[in-house]
Amino acid sequence: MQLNRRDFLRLSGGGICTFLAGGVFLPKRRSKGILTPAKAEIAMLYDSSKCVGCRACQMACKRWNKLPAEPGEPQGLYDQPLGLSAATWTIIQLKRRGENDWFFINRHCMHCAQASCEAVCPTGAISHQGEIVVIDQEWCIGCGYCVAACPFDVLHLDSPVEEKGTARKCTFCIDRQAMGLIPACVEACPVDALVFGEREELVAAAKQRVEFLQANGYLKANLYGETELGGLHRMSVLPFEPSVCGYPDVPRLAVANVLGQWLSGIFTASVVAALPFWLLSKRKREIQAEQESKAGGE
Amino acid sequence: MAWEWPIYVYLWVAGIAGGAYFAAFLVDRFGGGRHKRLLRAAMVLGVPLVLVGSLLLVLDLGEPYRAWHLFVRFRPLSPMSMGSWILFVWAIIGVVLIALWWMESVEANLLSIEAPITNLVRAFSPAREVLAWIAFLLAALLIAYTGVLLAATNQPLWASTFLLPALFVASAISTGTALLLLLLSTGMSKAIDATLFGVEEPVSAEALERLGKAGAVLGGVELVVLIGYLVWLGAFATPDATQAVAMLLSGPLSLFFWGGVVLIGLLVPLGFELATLTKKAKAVGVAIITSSTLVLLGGLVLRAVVVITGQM
Repeated sequence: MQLNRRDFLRLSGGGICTFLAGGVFLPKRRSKGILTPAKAEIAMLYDSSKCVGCRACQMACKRWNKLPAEPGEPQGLYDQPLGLSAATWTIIQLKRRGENDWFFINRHCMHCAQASCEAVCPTGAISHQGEIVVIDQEWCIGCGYCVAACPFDVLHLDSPVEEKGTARKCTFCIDRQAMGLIPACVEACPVDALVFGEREELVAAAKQRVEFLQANGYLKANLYGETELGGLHRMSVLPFEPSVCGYPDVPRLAVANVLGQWLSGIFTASVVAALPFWLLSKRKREIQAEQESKAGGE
Repeated sequence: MAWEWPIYVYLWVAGIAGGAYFAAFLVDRFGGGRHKRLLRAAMVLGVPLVLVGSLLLVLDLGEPYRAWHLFVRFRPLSPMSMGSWILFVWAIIGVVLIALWWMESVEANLLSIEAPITNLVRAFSPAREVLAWIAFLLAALLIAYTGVLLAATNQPLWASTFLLPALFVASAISTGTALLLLLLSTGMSKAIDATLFGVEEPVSAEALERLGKAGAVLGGVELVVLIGYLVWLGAFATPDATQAVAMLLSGPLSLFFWGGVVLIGLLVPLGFELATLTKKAKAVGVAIITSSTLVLLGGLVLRAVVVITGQM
C-alpha cells in the first residue's frame, strides 16, 4: 500500500490519539510494578507424546539467548549436556522404562504462579512480570537460595563453562514476547510438541489429548501443571506418572511450612533447651533455701 | 552444588555465637545476675565469630559486591532475608553492649575526673538491660534461622520434616555451651575480663557446674531430636526423604555421620560429662576441655554432612 504525505499524517495522528485514549480509558491490570494491557493468561504446553527429541528447542534457546556451548565427553548417553545449567535453559532428556521403551521429556522453567524462587529470594530480585518469572540480573547477588528452593531444579548459578555468578534460567523469551514474537523454542519445534497461546485454550486441548492417550493404552497419561503450585505456565502432557517423567508428583512451595519451621526452632530454644537451665537453677535455689532455713533454725 | 564449605562453616559459627549468648544469658538470669562474665565472654567471642562467618558468606556469593542488596528490602517470607536482618541487628547490639561494658570499666578507673563520660555511661545503664534482653531474643531467632534457612527449600533431607530447625537449635545451644565451658576452664574468659573490662574475679565454680550439667542435658536433647529427625524422614515423609536419609546413614558421608556426629559429637562427650558429674573428680578440667572440643567439632560435622548430603 502506498501512502501519500496527507494519509500518513492522518494515520499517525489517529494512531497517537488512539494510543493516548487507550492509555486513559482502557482497563489496566497492575501486575507487580509494570503496566500491562488487559489480556488473556498465556502459557506454553509441552506434549511428550508428540516430541521426537530433535532438540531444535534446545538449539533455538541457545541461539536466541546467546548461551555458550557446553563441551562434554561423549558418555554413550542421549542427553547432552547432562542437565540444565546457567548456560542451558532448556533441554531434552531421554527417559527409559525398558529395553525398547523410551520417551522424551523437555525441561525448562515452569513459570509457577506460586514460585518458590520468588518467595525465598532475599533481595527481591526474582519477580512475576505477568505470567513470567523473571530474575533481575542487575539485582541478583548469586546466593543460590533459589537453586535449593526450586522444585524442578531449574535455576543454576554456574555451568561447566562459566564461573559462579547470578542465578539464570529460562526467561519465557520475555524479550521476544515484548516484540510480539513467541518463545524461540516453540517457534523451532517442528512437530508442535511445544505450543504457546492462551492458557484456557491450551488446557482444553491438553485434556482432549490426555483422553486420547488414555483411550490408546497410556492409562496413566496426565496433564501436569493445570493446578500444581497455583497453575504452571509451562504445562505438560505426560504419558506416565510425573515421577516416571522426572517431575515431582506433588511439587510443593518451598516456603509452604516456613511458619511451622520457625516455630519448631523457637519452641526448641524456648522450651526444650531453656528448661535444663531453669531446672538446674531451681534445684540450686531449693538447696540454698533449705540450707538457709536450717541455718535459721539452729 | 550451590552451597559448599563456607555455608556450613557459617551455619556452625552462627549457631555457636547465638547459642553461647543464649546459654550465658540463661545461666546469668537464673543465677540472679551473678554471671555477667559469661555474658561478656559470649559476646566478645560471638560478635567476631558471626562477622567472620558473614564474610565467608559474602565471599561465597556469585556477586560479592552486591551483598548490600540484602539490606535494602525486608522480605518476611524469605528466611535468608530475615536471617540477614537478625544477624545484622544482633551484631550491632553486641558491639554496643561490649562498648557499654567497656565504658563501665573505664568509669571505674576515671571516677570523677571525666564527668561527661561517667554521666554518659549512667545514661546508658537502663538501656543495657533492655539491649541484653533483645540480644537474647534475637539469639534464639538467629539459631532457629540456621535451620529454617535449609528447611524452606525443596531438598528432601532439609524440607520434609519440621525437626531440622529443632536439631540445629539443639546443636547450636549445645555447641554454644561447650564454647563457654571451654572459655571458663581454660581461663580465657578470665583473660577477656581482665584485659577488656578490667574485672578481676576467680572462675565461678557454680557457673562451671551449672553449664556442665546443662551441657550434658543438652547433649541428650540433641540425641533425641536427631533420632526424631531421622525417624520422621525415614518413616513418615515422602519416598524422596527416605532415600535422602538412607544417603545420610549409608552414603559416601556416612562415616562422618556415624563417627563425627554420633560418636565424637554426641556419645563420647556425653560419656565424659556423665563421668565427671557422677564422680566429681578433681581432674575435671581436662575432661571438660576434651568433651567441649568434641561437641564443637561434632557441630561442624553435623552442619557439613547435612548441607552436603542434602544437595546430593
